[in-house]
Amino acid sequence: MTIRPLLQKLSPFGREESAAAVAAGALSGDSAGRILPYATALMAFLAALALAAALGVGDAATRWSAGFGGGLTIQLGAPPAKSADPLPRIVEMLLATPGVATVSETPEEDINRLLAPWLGGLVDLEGLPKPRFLEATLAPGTSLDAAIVEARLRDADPNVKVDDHDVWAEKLAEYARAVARTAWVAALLIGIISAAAVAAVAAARMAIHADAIRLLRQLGATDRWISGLIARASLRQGLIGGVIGVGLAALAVFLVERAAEGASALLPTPRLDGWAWAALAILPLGAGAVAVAAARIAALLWLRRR
Amino acid sequence: MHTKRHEASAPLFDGLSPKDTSAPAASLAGVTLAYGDEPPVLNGLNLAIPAGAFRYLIGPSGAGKSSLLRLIYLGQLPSTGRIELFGTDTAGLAPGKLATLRRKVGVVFQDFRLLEGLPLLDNIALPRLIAGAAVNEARAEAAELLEWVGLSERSNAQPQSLSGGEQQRAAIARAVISRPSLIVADEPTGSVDDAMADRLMALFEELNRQGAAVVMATHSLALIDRFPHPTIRLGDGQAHESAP
Repeated sequence: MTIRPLLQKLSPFGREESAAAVAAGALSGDSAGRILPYATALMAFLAALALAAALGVGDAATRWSAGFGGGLTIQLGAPPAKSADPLPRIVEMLLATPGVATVSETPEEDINRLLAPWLGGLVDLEGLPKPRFLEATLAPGTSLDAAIVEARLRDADPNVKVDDHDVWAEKLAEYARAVARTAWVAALLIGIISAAAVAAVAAARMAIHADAIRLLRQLGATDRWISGLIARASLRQGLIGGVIGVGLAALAVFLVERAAEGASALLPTPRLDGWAWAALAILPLGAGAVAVAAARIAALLWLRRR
Repeated sequence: MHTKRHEASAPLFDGLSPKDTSAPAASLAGVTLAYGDEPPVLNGLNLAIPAGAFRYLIGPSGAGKSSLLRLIYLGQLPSTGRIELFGTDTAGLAPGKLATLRRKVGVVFQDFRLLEGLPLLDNIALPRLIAGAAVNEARAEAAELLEWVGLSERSNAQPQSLSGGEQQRAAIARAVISRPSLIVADEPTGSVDDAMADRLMALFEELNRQGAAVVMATHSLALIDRFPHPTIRLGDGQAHESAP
């Protein structure tokens, strides 16, 4: 017993599609049709990469906005040798500032860890004068003007610098959103190009099989029925190409994510969540749908001209 | 031997009632057909093929027999004039209605036109599949016809592997599988021996007895002698009918 009868029973096209499956053999075996799975696989690969970039970077923008916003970073010089350390006073001033919830000093080990990749083993980080950092978190719903805070803190340390997380986090997020938008546009363009390629192949197949199509018409086939034969073949080839292309793209994304893990200390790494992987998984169905629609429209237009 | 095989095929043709007998199967009025600047092949031709009639189409080569058949089976539009099939004016017909009308016409092409890529069985089943029949049903009918035309052992063969005579028999099987109301045949026995020609003619005559009109172009006067029916002689772009 084979699976074919069951699949035919489950087919949304039912009995009519089975008849079309038989008749589709008359429009097969041409070189134009053989190209389609490879072209679709390439397009699906590129579309999947663009989609992964759009989803991954878009998600990263959200995380960066949420993770880094709502705080200030205060940078001080190394402890002075000949005068009192301004750090306790600055902490005191910050805690007295309305809206500031907590203040914490970045541990020296963390600063060393951040500097290590840049300085390597050439310098003894322990003995090196290094800037110090305070992280001030703000109460929910509060915002402070970094310039005003910095002006006040200069009473304690003229060289102090204050960075507003919201400003640069928003710049980073905007950059990420721009990258994501570009990736969406790229995915859309790839989809349009794919549809055009499928339509061109469908038109070429119609021309190659013009005699057979003329005969089918003479035997009473409607244009809709004939275009269905072409669309059916394109669906199968689109799905095959889609699965191959998306599979290769998923492997590429997985390898990139793994490679990025090692560089996470230096670079913010976009990554795909479960929904993004699910979106990639259904992309072959999208490729199949695009192939069916493009092939059917191209075939109907070809038939209408004849 | 012929009688025995004919009996074997009986279930396919039993129980048929004549179809579309109220209007002529084909009616041509003032039909002219010209190719480019050449003199017209058909010139103001008037012709009616009554429902259930059997007509031979004869005439010298180049008289327009194939052109006239193409007009009748809606493979070509006339330059001028009116063509009706089963009482329906074919001019400006919507594509869907045109397809429905074509399903009522079985055509045996002079060059057979079997489709490569389909085994013989599916080539013959094709008109039934197009009409919406289930695959198994269509293939069973095709297998029955293949047996009738002596090709049952070639059912899985590709058309290009068949001889000219075999292709002709297969083309006839495909033309009649839908039990059309009008059969248009262009030299349907030109590539087979006399015994097979008689056998195929018996099939055409049986379908004709059951109500199908038949228009058959032929050069074979011997065939007309053995199976006498009225003839339509084409000459000077006109049709002249005569009794057998």
